[in-house]
Amino acid sequence: MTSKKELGVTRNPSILKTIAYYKYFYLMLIPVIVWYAVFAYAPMYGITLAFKSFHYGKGIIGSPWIGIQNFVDLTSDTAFWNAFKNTVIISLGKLLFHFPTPIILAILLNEMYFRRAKKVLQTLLTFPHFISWIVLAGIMTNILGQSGVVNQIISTFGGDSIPFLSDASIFRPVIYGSHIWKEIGWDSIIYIAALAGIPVELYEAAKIDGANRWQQIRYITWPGIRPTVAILFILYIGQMLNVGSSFDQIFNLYSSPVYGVADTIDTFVYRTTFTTGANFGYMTAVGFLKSGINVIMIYLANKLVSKAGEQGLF
Amino acid sequence: MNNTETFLEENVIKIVPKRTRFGKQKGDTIINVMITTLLVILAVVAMFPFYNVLVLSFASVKGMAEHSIYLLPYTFDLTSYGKLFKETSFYRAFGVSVFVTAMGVALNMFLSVTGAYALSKKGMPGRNILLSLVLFTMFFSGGLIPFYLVVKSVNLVNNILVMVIPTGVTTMYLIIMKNYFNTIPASIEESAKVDGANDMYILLKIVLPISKPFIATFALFYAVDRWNEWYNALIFISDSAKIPLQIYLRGLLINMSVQLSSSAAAVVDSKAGVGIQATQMASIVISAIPIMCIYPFMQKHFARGIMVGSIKE
Amino acid sequence: MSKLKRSLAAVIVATMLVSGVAACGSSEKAEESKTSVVASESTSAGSTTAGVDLSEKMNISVALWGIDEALANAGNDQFLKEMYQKLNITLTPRQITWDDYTQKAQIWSASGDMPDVMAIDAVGTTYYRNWIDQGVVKALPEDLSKYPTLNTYMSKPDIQALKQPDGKIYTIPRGLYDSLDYCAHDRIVLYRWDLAQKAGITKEPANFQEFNTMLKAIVDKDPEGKKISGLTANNIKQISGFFWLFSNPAATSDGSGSDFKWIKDDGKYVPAVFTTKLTLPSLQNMRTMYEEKMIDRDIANMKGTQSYDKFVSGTSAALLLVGYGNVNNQVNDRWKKLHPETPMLDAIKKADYFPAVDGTAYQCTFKTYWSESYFSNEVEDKKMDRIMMLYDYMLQPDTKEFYRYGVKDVDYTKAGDKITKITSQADLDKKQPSSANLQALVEFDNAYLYDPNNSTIDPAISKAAIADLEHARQVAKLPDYEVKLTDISTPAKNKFSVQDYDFMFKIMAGKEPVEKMWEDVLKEYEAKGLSKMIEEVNGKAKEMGLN
Repeated sequence: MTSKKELGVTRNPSILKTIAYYKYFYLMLIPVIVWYAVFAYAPMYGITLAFKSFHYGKGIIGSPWIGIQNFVDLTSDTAFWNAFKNTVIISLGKLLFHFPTPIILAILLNEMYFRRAKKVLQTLLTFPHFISWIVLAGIMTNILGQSGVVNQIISTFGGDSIPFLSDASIFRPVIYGSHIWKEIGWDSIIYIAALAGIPVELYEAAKIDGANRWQQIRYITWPGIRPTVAILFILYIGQMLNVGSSFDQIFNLYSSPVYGVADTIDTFVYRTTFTTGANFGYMTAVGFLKSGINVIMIYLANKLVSKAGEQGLF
Repeated sequence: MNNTETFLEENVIKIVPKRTRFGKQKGDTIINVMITTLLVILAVVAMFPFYNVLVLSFASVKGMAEHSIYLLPYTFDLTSYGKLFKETSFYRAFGVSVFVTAMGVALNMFLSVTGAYALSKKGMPGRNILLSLVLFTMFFSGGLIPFYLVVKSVNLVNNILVMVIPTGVTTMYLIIMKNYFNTIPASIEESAKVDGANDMYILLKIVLPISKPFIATFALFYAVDRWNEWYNALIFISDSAKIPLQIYLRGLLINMSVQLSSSAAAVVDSKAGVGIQATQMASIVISAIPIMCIYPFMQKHFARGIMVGSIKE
Repeated sequence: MSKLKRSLAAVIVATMLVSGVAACGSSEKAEESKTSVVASESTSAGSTTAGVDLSEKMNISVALWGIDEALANAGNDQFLKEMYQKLNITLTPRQITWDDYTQKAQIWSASGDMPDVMAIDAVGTTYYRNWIDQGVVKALPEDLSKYPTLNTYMSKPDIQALKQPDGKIYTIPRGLYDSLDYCAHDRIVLYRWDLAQKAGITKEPANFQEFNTMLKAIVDKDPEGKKISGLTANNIKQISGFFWLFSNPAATSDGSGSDFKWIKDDGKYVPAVFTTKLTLPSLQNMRTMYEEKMIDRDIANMKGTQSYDKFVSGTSAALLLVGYGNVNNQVNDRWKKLHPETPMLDAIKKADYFPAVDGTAYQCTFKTYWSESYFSNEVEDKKMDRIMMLYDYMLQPDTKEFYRYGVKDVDYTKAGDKITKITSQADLDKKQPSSANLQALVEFDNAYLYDPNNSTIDPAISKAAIADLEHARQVAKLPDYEVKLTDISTPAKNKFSVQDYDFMFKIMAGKEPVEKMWEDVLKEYEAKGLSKMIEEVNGKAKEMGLN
């Protein structure tokens, strides 16, 4: 609440006075509010489609209500559950393989003696982040294809060419690997910044006490980085289904042979909506389900992290 | 402007320590070398695909035929680049992307800064409701069809601005910016108020100048997002003169739908398809150049900007 | 920040209110824009019912692949100028590409933003049904006598089969050819005969076994040292048209998922593609081929024109592609540039029609058309009349001569049936750039490929195509199936889609026994309602008197 001191009055100010105090801020908010109203909230009525059966002639408003029938149908849709399963698996996979790597990288970079080289390395590693998945998919098909560089090297050494992009057992690791490659540099920036904030004196004191490098990392570096990890962990969990879906990445990289392992909720929705033209209401129900789960996840993650002693997001 | 300097000192500059922690210690050198080697290997592996692309973009037909594994720059043939530069649809797509990025970032920053700053004022009536409304949009959306209808009703379908206006705000960035503005000590604003400044003036002449690193960071975030934009274009743009670079690249890279003008059809058909790969790689290189140019400028602002915004609450 | 949480709850209520109000707003806007469009179209009153009234100039929006390029230079295009003048119309492009045409169609139809004319392959899909039932697309006038050429075109049996229960037809299919025997060239397998010979093969393969042996020899011997791979395909969806010929020719499908054919098995009608005793041998053959490296491991990843590059540059021993048109435009063109000294047909041969396990050689069979034109329900009857005239115009032989050869006695001369070109193709393209893409508005007319007057095809290829078609008519049989059941409508069938290329590839590249993987596939489709659909279709078949 705006304090009495700020407003320069002795009694609690009226609402009108407070609004007047903030008038410029309300002014500032107008463009933003208009934007959200038009582009985020006006389409919001489309959520109702999750409970309807879409009728082209009547549009979303006029389409008949069918209650939770769409959700009931979802439970028996094997393709959807496969997509859901894949989303969770890929999401957990990325959590396991991708989430820790920037942290480790940051710690390693922090340990580097050569400052100049450290900057150069950091810049280089950040570069893949800026390239879109459209382009990266093009590069990867080029390199990992059967006649790509990687396979050519493998066959020179006498091995069998590996169908990276069309073998269901390899595809997911390819997804994890390529995601790490793309984002490790960028994601590590936050951690490096956090690490740079650790006072040098702590390390010096530790050295005097005889701590070796590993102990320094464990008792100084890691606690310094923990709050950052906590926040990012929460944000990650809250976006888990989106991360697992990785629409951009998977859409540009996948093909029919790997649908079984790589079809995620987002790609499933996209493909079914636009190719077989399944009922839009059904697809909206899927989106609704996904959003609902996201909200629950972020709430849980926040609780988890607060329990662990770190400051949460809310 | 004592306050500003102190603020910078305490919250921003301190992040980069002046002294290094590495003194001489036994076993240090070995570990240093190990770590450095590991990281260098990592960097090489990370850069290899781009190296491969670059090398292939300079390939000539003869070179490709002679060397089945194309690892070194055997040739320095600029034909693919030449052909690409003669291609009007490439120019147009590039121009569209430049326009979209410039306009997009301008709108993004305008909306995000005003929104984030206003929403950072905890005492403002209605602020919590507005914040919740904003947060809500991070999770729930109405879906593609209603979105299409709304875009249609504001006459943005097949309009270049459809890649600028509907992407006006990325809520996550807005939230982080809001958090950042919360870290600015109230004392700065209070003393300005005492001097008679109103809130607009404070934002423009006091808060923004000291937030430069931060603003720069987010401008870059937005710029990358706008430059790599393709989804809205795919859905809303039917006019091939208005497609952005990413869609053009997509067509070229999957070799399916790029309608090259008949005079430049040679780009695709020439050299029995061997040239097409070089052309694809050349187009990738060209599209990455703008990003490569901006990044070094922004790099020094990153660390400060990102950390401050996301840690403090 | 519990205040925040409380507010969050209040938000949900507020949202519904806000969006409810906004929804009314936007739907009203949609209504408004509809009426205003209608208003602007009915400018001049009094259209005569009898006779041809071309007094009102009309603008027709068209969504066709590459329409943007086609109409880009309308002012300088002799074909367009003539058409616009004759029919008193102009065309507005709604660009679609091969990559995004399905997405655009879905979005436009769902948001009430359809162009007047739209191209898409929709027959058999769920949305085709919905579009008809829910008033998205307009029916053709029942009496087409006003448009004689169009009328003849529409009277082909498989187009008449598209007549709905209300007696109307809602689309104009984009014809490929006049009869199904041309389908034989819809899936062509080319192989590198020169490399086969270098690998020790002395005789062109005459059956599947010899074909496999040849592929294996080429891959193993690798005469050019390029680590050549086996058979590849232009698009994974096309494999169904070839591999089923081994034992289940009626299962050949075009990859759309909705054209699966019905055969009689044990007194009941079932989809050919799910008849186990017929499918297993083909699947087993594919598995063997894949294991022995006779098939390119990247076959599923081929996009765009990659496969042509692969085949011509010698990194694939064989290529599955669609039509002699592509043999000419894609393969031959590339070959000429890479190997100008060798005629393509010396080094590359087309695989013959191999006998299936029952001893008979079959050819793949699809439909005489691919994709259709749909007309928005917003189009007024007057405009529909004009569109029908446009379609009729495009089908007329004179128009075809125009867009193929140009203006008579200026760009070409005609003596009897023979056409002699005056203007070169390159110059003609500059005079009427629209014809390249606009040709496909009404029909693809692939039969033109076999027309000796067609100078865009390399004469050697043209001769080979005509000869092979004759050969196909002699040696290859069209598989038996019940054509009337392919497009009927039943609740379960309307939702049913068969992605046979999907499970074909999975089983081919899989590690588990073929029989077991096939059982899993059957289970998967069972869960999608296979038995129910069979039941319903058999019921309908009885009603239709088929037995």
